[in-house]
Order: sequence, then structure tokens, then C-alpha cells
Amino acid sequence: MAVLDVKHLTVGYGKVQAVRDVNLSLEKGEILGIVGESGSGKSTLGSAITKLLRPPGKILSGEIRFEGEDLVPLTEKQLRHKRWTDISVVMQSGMNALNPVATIRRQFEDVILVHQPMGKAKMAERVDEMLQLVNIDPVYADHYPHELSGGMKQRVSIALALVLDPKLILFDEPTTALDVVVQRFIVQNLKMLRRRYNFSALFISHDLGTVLEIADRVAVMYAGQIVEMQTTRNLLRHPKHPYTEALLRCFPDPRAEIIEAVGIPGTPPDLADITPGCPFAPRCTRSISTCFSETPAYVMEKDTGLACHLAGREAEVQA
Amino acid sequence: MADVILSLSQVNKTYVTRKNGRNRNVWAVRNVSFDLKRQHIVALVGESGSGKSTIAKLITGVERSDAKSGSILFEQKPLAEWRRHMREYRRHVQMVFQDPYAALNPLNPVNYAVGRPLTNYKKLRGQAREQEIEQILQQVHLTPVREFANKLPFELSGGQLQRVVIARALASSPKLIVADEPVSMLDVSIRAEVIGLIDELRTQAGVSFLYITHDLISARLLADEIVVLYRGTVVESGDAKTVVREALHPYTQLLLQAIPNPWAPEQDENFDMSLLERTGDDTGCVFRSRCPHAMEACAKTAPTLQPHGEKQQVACLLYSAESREPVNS
Repeated sequence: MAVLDVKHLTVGYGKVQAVRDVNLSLEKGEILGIVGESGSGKSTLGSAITKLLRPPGKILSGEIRFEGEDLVPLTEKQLRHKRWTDISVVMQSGMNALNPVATIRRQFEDVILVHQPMGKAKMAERVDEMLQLVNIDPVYADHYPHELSGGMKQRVSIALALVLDPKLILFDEPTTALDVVVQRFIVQNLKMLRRRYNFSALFISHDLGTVLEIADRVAVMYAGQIVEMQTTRNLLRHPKHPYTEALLRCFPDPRAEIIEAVGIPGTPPDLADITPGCPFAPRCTRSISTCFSETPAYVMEKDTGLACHLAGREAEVQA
Repeated sequence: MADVILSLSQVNKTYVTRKNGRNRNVWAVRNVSFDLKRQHIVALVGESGSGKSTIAKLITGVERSDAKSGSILFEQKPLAEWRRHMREYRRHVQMVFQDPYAALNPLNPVNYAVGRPLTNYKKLRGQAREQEIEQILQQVHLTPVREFANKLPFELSGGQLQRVVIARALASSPKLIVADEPVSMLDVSIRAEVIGLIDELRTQAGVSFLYITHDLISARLLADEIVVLYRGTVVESGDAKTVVREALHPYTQLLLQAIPNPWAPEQDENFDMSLLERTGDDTGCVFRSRCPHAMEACAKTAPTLQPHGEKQQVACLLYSAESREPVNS
């Protein structure tokens, strides 16, 4: 059974629907990458799944099944039992997620005592172990966040998210504010941790390169919808949605003989003013008349999905 | 040389901090030298703390470099002399910042932001000022111009805002624009437009750019030359394409390896995680504590920037004059 099964999820802020009819599922030990540009709804999706949406954000419809149980109707109190022990999060700026006036050790102890109390000695052992997992010398346990570098703080946030061995972890832009070398290190570190703990994860980022490197499967979001979902391997080799193709072209190989700046002309649509048709059609180089009049349905098949009118048509043309 | 617009030679910047009651010198910039030719783009590349933004502050006159050593020449005239004519200097040297959302006053429309430098530096008014604003907005492709001129920052996208910031920098007809991470806050799909715009302005408006970034890919896309900084020192510099394709310094190589490259997953496994740790020590090579090729000599001698081939300079003992080739790689 899937660890997470999201069905027809729609999330709105007032009249604006930031996430529209999203379907996805996540198996045990799987990392699903979610990529999209600013305003694509990827972070809203993450907050909705972990039930961390803040008003005016609201789940308008759909189900979020975690181990079979729908999280949508649960109260804060019921969710509390699941937080950290079952589901945890790592946010973009781990630096700001840590309490500045508590030592690193205190922050671990707070989490443990609330969710899974244990003795002081055992707790100390656990803190040391967790810090070592993310390559931080345990002497830093008694330091304050401001004494650590940005990369170290982000690794502490990751260790904190892992401390109670959760089944699902949401990573929301965990490497964005960091240097490339540190980013690379964190991605490597996460891969190792996943092998060891076999947790499932949603990895949200605007950086397709990083997502492709860490995720088993990738969902590409555009204007609040998933437009394509495929295994990382296939997405790289055979992207089906024109937006995915265009995004991939934005990441050139730096060492190529000739290198060219490639972008996607145009801007994403205004979510407050969604008209019928494919939201990407105005920027798409291959759009046909249907793209402007009918919204393409998201067609799922096993672990893949695609919302594009061109699907199938190309096969016709080629045949 | 008349074609060099900006020249840094042996520039230093030291900050003094107090720790445990004792003064301590922090070297932010150390013996940095490079030239920027007219209509050229030089990229300063390095991670946080490498000193790239400090150099921007020194060049724009926000900070002063250490008095005892080195010099910054703009149009063959030392910065110390320009200091007496700061207004004129600022007219020639403008800056573009990383975060376009924070760089504009949210209460003022686009034509105000672009118009202020025209009033300040060119004493333009009324009709002439309006025309100039229109012409500049045209130049950065914010069209239809009349529509954009009256918009407020919140009505614009990130890419459009960055165009306004660039337009504002262009308004005083500068000779040099220092752009500090101008695209890193923008989505990948719109970065190309801004990069294209900068390239266009260099050719059409004849502006030279100092492009500061941590991203070697965009540096190669945009710049003629790349200067790689590590902890305040230049470790490698030269022709952009050569530096990226035939990186010599172990730090440049590390930066390249760190770029996610899903097309070559095997490279992944070669990434040595121990290279992350760094312990500062002021003697010898600045990079040696993270360097996979560090030798005994690296702790004793600080390598200086030496030419390697025709298009590149590197500060590394692996390529010292005697051997010319890597000693052990």
C-alpha cells in the first residue's frame, strides 16, 4: 500500500486556486520530486499535504490518504500524534526554523520529550547519533544556531526531522539558500539517509537539476497543476510535456563546446484569472487550436501522468 | 592601456573583529588583481564568504580598501582621487542587486525609479525626461512603454522588476555596471532573458559589466573572463570558456563537480564529501584544508597567480613554474 495517496486535491486562497486537482502517490522508501517555478503551487501543495496551510489557505476538496487514513478531516489534536513521529518537515531556511535562544541539544530534546519521551542519557546518545548522521561533530550539540554556518543549520534541521524515524518527510526547497558545494553535500547526505532509514519523501524545489539528482520520480507543476509525472530516468530521456522539455533545456551542460542561454519566453498565467485551455499554451511552441479552448485532462497510468493534448497525437503523426 | 576601464591591483580589505577581548584581523579580500576591459563582462565567481560582494563594495566606493596596499583604477584614475568627485563617479559606475523585490520602493511607479537618476545626474526635466525614460524602458524591452511606466512594483513579475532595476542603473549612462547576482532570484525560465539583456546592453549601450555570481554556468554564458575567488583570493582566472572547460585549480574543479549534472550520474559517486570541511589557517594556500591534492609545500608557500597557457592564470603549486603540469592528479 502506498504511504501517501493524494486524490483530486484542490487548495485555494480566497478565490484563487493555487493547487488544482492534484493526484499523486508515494511508495515506501520513495522520493518524489516536485518541481515548478515560483507561483506554480508546489509549496502550497506541500503545506496542504502536511496540513500546515495557514489561513486564508484552505483545502477545498480532495483526499490526502496517509497509510490509508484521510488527513483532511483530522483535527489539530489528532494530527499532533502524527507530527514528527509519522510525518515531519524540513523547510527552506533551516536557519530560521531553529530557535535562536536554545542550544541544538535543547531543540532535539524538546521534540523528543513532546512526542516520544525517553531518559536523559538515552536522549544524549540519540542527539550525538543524529548529528553524526549529518556529518556534524557532536560537540556542536551545545552550541547555539548562530554559531553554525547556513549549511550546518540546514543539516541540523534535517537531523531534527529524522530524529523520531518518521515515515514521510517533506523537504520544501531544502537547498535553495545554500552554496552549490553545500547543496551537493546535502543531496548526497540525503541519499545516504534514505538508504539507511527507508523513509518516503516529497522533495520540493525550483531547481530541476537537484530534483533530478535525488528523486526516484518527478512531478512537474505548472499553474497549480501537475502537468507531467514520470520516473526520473524517463523524464530525462523522454520528457512528454512541452513544458518539461523546455525546462530541461534551461539547464545546459557547462562543459559543452558551445553553450547558449535558453529560457521560456512569456510568463505563467495569473491564477486569479484562469481561462479554459491548457495554462501553458501561450508559451508552448507546439500548441494547437484545441490547447486554447479545452483544458487537457491529467491522464494517469501506473506511476506516470500527463496533461497534454499532444499526447497520442504525435504517435499518430509519426505513424 | 586605454581599453581597460577598471583595474584592480593587489587590493586588500581587512575587517577587524573583537573576539575574547582581542582584536582579530579578518581578511575579506587579499591581493586581488584583475582588469576589466571596455565593453567586456568579467564574472567574479565564488561561494559565500569568498569576498565577491566585498569587492563590489570596494569598486562602488561603499567600502574603502586597505590604505597601505594596492589600488583600484577607474578610467586610469585611482579611486582615492575619484572620492573627491563621488557624484560623477556614481554616474559612471552603477549597481544592480540580487533581489529585485527589495531594490525598488514599493510606493513609487516605474517611471519614478528610472527618472530619479535622470534628474540627479543629467538634470533632465519635463518632456526631455519623459522621452528619456521611454527610451530607456524600450532599451530593456519593457514594452508597451507607456503602460509599464506607470506601474507599481507589485504589478510586475520578478523578471520585469529586474529589468526596471537594470533600467534605473542605465539611466545615468554609466560606463560600468556592477551586477551582484542579478539572476539568482529569478526562475530558470526567465533567467535567459535577463542574461540576454545584459549581453545586449554591453554591445549596444557599450556598458562594461562586473558580473558577480556563484553560478559557473551563467558566468560562462555571459562573461568574457571569469575570476574565481576563494576566501578573498583569486585562485584562477582567464577566458570564460577555457576556465570552465579546462579548469585547473582544484577549487574550480570542485565548483564544477558540485553543479548537479543528471546527464552524468556516475560523476556523483566521485564527489568527495570530506571536501566540505574547512578549517581556517592563514599560512600557505587558502584552499589546502579542502584540497584533495594538498602537498606539504602547500602549507608553507602561498601560491601566486601565474599564467598557464595563453588564456588562463592559476594560483596553485600543482602548476608551479618548475613542473607546469599537475604533480599528482
